[in-house]
This record gives sequence, C-alpha cells and structure tokens, in this order.
Amino acid sequence: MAKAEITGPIEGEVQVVAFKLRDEEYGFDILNVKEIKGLTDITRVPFASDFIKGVINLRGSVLPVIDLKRRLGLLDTPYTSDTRIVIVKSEDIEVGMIVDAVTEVITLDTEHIEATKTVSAGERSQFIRGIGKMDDRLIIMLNLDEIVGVSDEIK
Amino acid sequence: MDTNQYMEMFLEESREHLDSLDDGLMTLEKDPEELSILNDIFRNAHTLKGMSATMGYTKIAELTHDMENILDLLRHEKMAVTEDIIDTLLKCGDSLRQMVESIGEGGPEDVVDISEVAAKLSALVNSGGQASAAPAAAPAPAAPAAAPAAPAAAAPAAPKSNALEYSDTDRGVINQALDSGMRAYHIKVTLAEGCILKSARSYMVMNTLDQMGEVVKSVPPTEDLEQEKFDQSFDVVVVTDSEPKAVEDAILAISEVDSAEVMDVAEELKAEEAPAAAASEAAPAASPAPTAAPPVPVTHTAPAKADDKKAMAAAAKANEKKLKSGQSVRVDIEKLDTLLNLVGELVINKVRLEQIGITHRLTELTETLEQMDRVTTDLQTVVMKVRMVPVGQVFNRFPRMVRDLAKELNKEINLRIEGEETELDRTVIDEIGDPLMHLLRNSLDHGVEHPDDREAKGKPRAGDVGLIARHEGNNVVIMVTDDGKGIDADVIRRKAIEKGMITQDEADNINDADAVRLIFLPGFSTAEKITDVSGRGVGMDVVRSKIETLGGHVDVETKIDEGSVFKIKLPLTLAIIQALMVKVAEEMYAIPLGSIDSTINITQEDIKTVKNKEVIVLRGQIIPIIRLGDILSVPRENGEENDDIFVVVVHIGERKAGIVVDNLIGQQEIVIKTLGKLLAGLKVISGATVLGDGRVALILDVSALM
Repeated sequence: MAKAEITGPIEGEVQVVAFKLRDEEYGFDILNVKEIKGLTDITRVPFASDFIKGVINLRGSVLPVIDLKRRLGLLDTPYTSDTRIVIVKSEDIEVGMIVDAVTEVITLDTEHIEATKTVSAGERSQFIRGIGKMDDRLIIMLNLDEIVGVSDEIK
Repeated sequence: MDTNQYMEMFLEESREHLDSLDDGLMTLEKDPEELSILNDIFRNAHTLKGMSATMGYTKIAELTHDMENILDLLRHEKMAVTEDIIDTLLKCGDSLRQMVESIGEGGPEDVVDISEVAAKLSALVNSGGQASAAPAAAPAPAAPAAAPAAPAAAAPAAPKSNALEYSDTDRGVINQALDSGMRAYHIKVTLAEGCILKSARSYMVMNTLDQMGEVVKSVPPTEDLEQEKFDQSFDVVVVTDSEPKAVEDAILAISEVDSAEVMDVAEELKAEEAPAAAASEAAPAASPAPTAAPPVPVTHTAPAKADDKKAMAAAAKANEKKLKSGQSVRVDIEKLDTLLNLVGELVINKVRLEQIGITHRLTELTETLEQMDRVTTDLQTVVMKVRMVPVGQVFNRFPRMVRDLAKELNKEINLRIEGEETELDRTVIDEIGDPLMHLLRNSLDHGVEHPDDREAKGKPRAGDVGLIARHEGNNVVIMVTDDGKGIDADVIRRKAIEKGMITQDEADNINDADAVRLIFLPGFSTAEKITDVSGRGVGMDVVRSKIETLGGHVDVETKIDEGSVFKIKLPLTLAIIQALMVKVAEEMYAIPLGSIDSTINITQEDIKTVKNKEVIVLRGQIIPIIRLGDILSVPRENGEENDDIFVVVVHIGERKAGIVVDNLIGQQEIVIKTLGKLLAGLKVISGATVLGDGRVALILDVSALM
C-alpha cells in the first residue's frame, strides 16, 4: 500500500502535496499525507536524533515531528506564519514533518518524473525518489521510507 | 484457500480450546467418573482437529485425531480413565500448544516431535482394547456394521441397530407418502475419514435428496449438520419416487462420501410395530443404559450410537449455553487506546470551551459544559473499564502448572484460587503471569513440606497453596500463600552474610521482617540444592523488579511452620498513573509518584562533593544528586539558576537519588502514551502524556536516571 507512491488513483498520474523548503519545491505522494497542521507546541525530546524536533499532541496521541530541513541537510530558517506540519504515514509509522510552506496539490504525469539515477546524486540522494517537472517548476519527490528510516539513525 | 485472514481467529480459538482441554483433563483427573467432562474434552479435541485440518496443519490434526480415538473409548466406557492416560493427554495438549505457538510466531507447526506421544496414545488405545474384555470387543465388529459395503444385503438386518425414532408427524408424512405410492427411505450417510468440510458435504447430500423428493427428518437435525455437530455419519429420512439404487448412487456421487446405506422405512416401521421384544428394545435408542447392553457384540452399535447422540445433544446444549453467557466482542487493544486518546482530546477541548465561556461570560455555555463534564468523566471511566480484564485469565494457567510441579516434587498440593473475577488493566495482566508463576513455584518448592514431614508436624498431608486476588482501595492485591514451613529469618541473615550482602553488624540490627525481605535482593537464593524448580538465585529479585516496573510493590510475611504470604500490590491500571509534574527551565516532566520518596527544598550550600560526585545528606543518609537539566541538556537562558533548589528524592529498590529540578508544579493523574516506534528505546524517557492545555510532557524513567 505505502509503496504505491508512483502510481496514483489514475494510471500514469500521481497527486503530490507540494511544499517549500527554503527556495526549493518538494513533494510527498498524497496517499502518504494524512493532514496538514499549523505549527503547534512542540515538546523537545532529549536523547532523540537531532533531526527530530520533538513531539506534538495530535488529537490525544503523541506524534514525533521531524525537522525536514535538518533531515535533508538544508540550512535552518526561522519559522514563519506559513510554516506547517505535514502529517504523513509510512508503513505503520505516523510522523509530522515541518516544512516552510505548503504550496498546493498538483497532479504530475508519471512520465514527467525522472528517477534520481539520471539526476546527479548528491549526499542526500537516498531521500530523493525522483524529480517531477511541471511547466517550468521542478518538484523534488521525497522518499518517505528513507526519511523516516528507523534503521540506523535512531538509537 | 487463503487462510491468512483466518490465522488470528485460528490461533485465538486454538488457545481457548487448549485451555479448556487442560481444564477438562484436570477436572477429569479429580473426578474420573464424570463422563460429561469427557464429552467436553472430546469436543475440544474435535474442534481443534477440524480447525487445524482446514488451515492445513496436518500434524495438529493427526495428533488431535489420535487423542479423539482414545477419548472416544473413554467416553463410551470401553476404557477406564487412568492417571497414565491423563498424563499422556496433557502432554499431547502441551505439544499442541507448542505447535500452535510456533505457528503464531510464523514458524512451522512441527517444532515438536509428536511421534512419542502419538505412539504412547496408540499403545494406550491398544491396551485399553485388550484389558476390558466384553465391551472392548465391540469396536472392531461394530465398525463394519456402521459402514456396510453392501447396503442391500445389510438392509434387512439393519433396522434393528439403526432404527430411528419417528414422531407422530414423521409417521404421518411417511404414511401419506407411502399411500400415494411414493417410497420412504432411511439413509445412513457416512462421510470419508478426514473429510474437512463436513457441513458442506452434508449440505450437498441434503440438497441432492431435496431435489429427488422430500426430506422428512435428519438425525442430528439440519442446524447441527450445518455446524458440524456430528461425527462421521448422519441419518436422513426422505420420501421420494426414486429407486433405492438411484438414491444411493446420487449420494455416492458427492465427493468425500464414504457410504450411503439406504433402508426402507416401511420395513423399519413394521419391525417397530411388531411385538418382537428385540425390536422394541432397540427402537427407543435414545435412552438405554449402557449396562443394559445387548448380549451380542454386533448390536453394541445401538447403545454406542445412543451415547453419541446423547453426547451431541449435550454438546449442543453446552454450546448454546456458551453463546448465551459469553456475549462479548473481541477488540484490538489498539482500538481501545485510540478511543481513550479521543476521549482525552474531548476533555481538553472541553477545558478550552470552558475558558471561552469564562472570558466572555457566557453563563449558558458554562452551564451546558457542566453537563458535558459529567458525560465526559463517565465516558472516560467506561473506556478505562473496557480495558480491564479479570485476573482469572492469568490464574487459569496455574492449576496445571501446580499439578505438574507437585508431582515432580512428590508433594501433595491443594491449590486454592480466589477472586479470579478481580479486574486489572490488560497491560498489567499481560505482565503479571511470570512473577506469579515464580512465586507459586517458590511456595511449592521451598514453602510446602513433603507429606511425611507435614504429618510429623501434625499438618494435613496436602499443603494448602492460595492464589488470591482482591481489591484494596485503588489497588489490586494478589497474594500467594502457603501453609508450609515459613522462612527462617536467621537462615536468611546467615546466608546474606555468607554472600557478603550485609555485614554481621547490619544483620544484628535488622528485625526479622526486614531480614526476610533480603530474599528480594539480587543474587539471593536459599535453596540447599539447585533444583529445576527454583533456586538459581535469580528468582525473587526478578519478581520484585518486574512488579516494580508495573508500578507495584511486593512484600512478604512469614511465620515459622505456619507458612508465608507473598503480597503483590498493583495499580488498577498502567494507562493512568499518579505523577509529580516538575519544571526544568521551560520544560515540563512527569516523575511517577510510585518511585518518589519525598521532595525537599535545599540551598546550594547543602550540596557536598564526594569523589567528584555531588551528594546531599538526608537524615544521615548520603544520597547522590542528579541535575535533571544537565542530564537532559535542557536549553537555558544564562544565569537563570537560583539558590533555592528543589530536590525530588526517588528510589528504585534500595537505591536512592535526589533529582534536582527548578520547580515543583504538583501532583497529577496522567494518561501514559507511548512515543511510538520512531522514538522507541529512548533512554531516560519512558513515555509521554498530554497535559490539560494540550501540550505534551515527557515521563521520566527513574531507574534509567540512576
């Protein structure tokens, strides 16, 4: 289910929640996005990985929040009124992602998404699933499983 | 068939059946004459067989089938219940349980070698066949009679043994049919051995017969057929125009049907009406006493079948009873957690509404909210109650363990279980089993004396071991008692000195009660010899730490030659605890009240340094202090530290420590939430809770701090 990131409800199309980190535009498959929330009180969690900003209360359950910029190795910017927490679900892990602003939900042609291999692979390439093109915009599709990656980062 | 979706159900139900199998066998051991228990046991084994075969677990099906064989002999009194048989059957149950658990863990079913128990079973079956002479001869000749190869030839002889009871209505229908030139047949359908979908097959048979004519009745009735409440064969009475041969062929065309014996009802009725003594005796087949068994072995099938029917009737009745008494739903605990979360959120939102009402002076709103307050409080209690499970769920497994252990130790034990209906939170129930098991083992091994020694002391030969649960205020108390030899405080003192756990001085200064409590220290074991049962020195301290992690407390009271009482005090629930809220800079933390000794207010000068570590002296005791802000690297505005210092003195077991915080907020009931997978295994933080204002506060794991 969660693997179905490239296939959308319509064959050949994928709906993407697009959002901004600094000046770049990124996207999560809409199927992974549960809701978008304004910034709320975040409780710092000692001993957690540095990219984990803390935990929030989402309707009574406690949810970890990842600072996506820090996770992707981007420079910090202060929070603004546009800052949002995107609640996503990968496998059975639910987590919030702090983004600078949510722009819109767009429909991308799967043909217009280039796999990362052809794109120059940088340090954070494991987090990137592909790059989608729409008109003159570039949307970096993120690999949620890797970003949440319970594997080695935690502990 | 995709069996995965049924897996959960299969596992749950298998466990249940194995539990009642165990229970049944043990009741039977106490009361070997009680044949109704045998029927229950048989049904358990039978259901297990059916389920496992459907799921494709042939080993389980095989073993249960072998068990059925012997159980069948037992319930038909062809064999007497012996201890050996019970032992073997219990062992079978154990093997089955291991197989089921292995399947549950995604492993193969054949984790245990069942050949030994299977061989033992068949040996018992064979010996049973030889031992009891007259009735035992019956099963062999009876078998061919039940499934005759040539029904035509068997037909004239059959009515005697196979005759059904016909009610007046049945007779009416049959006679009417006969008058109108139709024929009535009594058909005995036997399904193939190992047939899995018995209900489906029986349905197909009934359907076929329905198409050929009219089904007058079936034994057992159709509902029972649908629920597979029959053994290998069933009887149908049908009126039709077809020839007997045609009926037989039609039924035999259905797969997994072993034989179809077609008999003429007209002849049966005639035979019944005839004054012949033999016929009238065999006809009311439902009630003959086993002792009145006909002299000829072959006709033994009749009473046997009657027993069968009785068994099935009893089974059906028992089933009905179960359905009525157990009107419950299985719910995933996660769903309940979600429900609890939502209720919590509701409460928080209610608080916000109250705030609005107050700031804007909306009296109507505040009044309505007062109503709502009552509802939400009730809702919260109900949700908490839903998570509660009777301790009986854990207690149930102990009679078996105690029985086995008593045998192994050559002791006589009466296990007394009380208060099994006392309810505890599901999470506690899951964890409490092991500590209880250990305490029971301990009582049996170290507490209760050998029967001869007990007699010498003027006690009854059988030791009394109690497992008692009851409410005590906001706690549940579980006690493990025995009337054994008690714990000798002096022996404990000596051992503790030997092991270097205390000095002679200390030993002289502690009272007996405290001396006995030394058994809870790590590395203490008083067993003269190391047994399989207990005495590896890892016992009591493990029990104690387990119970303390559950937020509970364990203590012991003992009197020489009168016995010991181990008392476990547990909170009603783990989901809600009392905690002290503390503040470090701007961060709020919760410290579980269970591990807090006291709170004190000191100044910077009270802190001394010993071996480079900060300590305070509290009532003559040196206590290391932990600066929470430093440990958790809490971000601080500089120069914020003031001279007044709050210290929360906590303890884990015997160790104490003082936690330095900036401020004490107060005591509060908090609902514990997990931090989720992503943050699992975090040290020092054991969970989180949502505060009244909607913010999240973390709960400290005191033992990890020390």
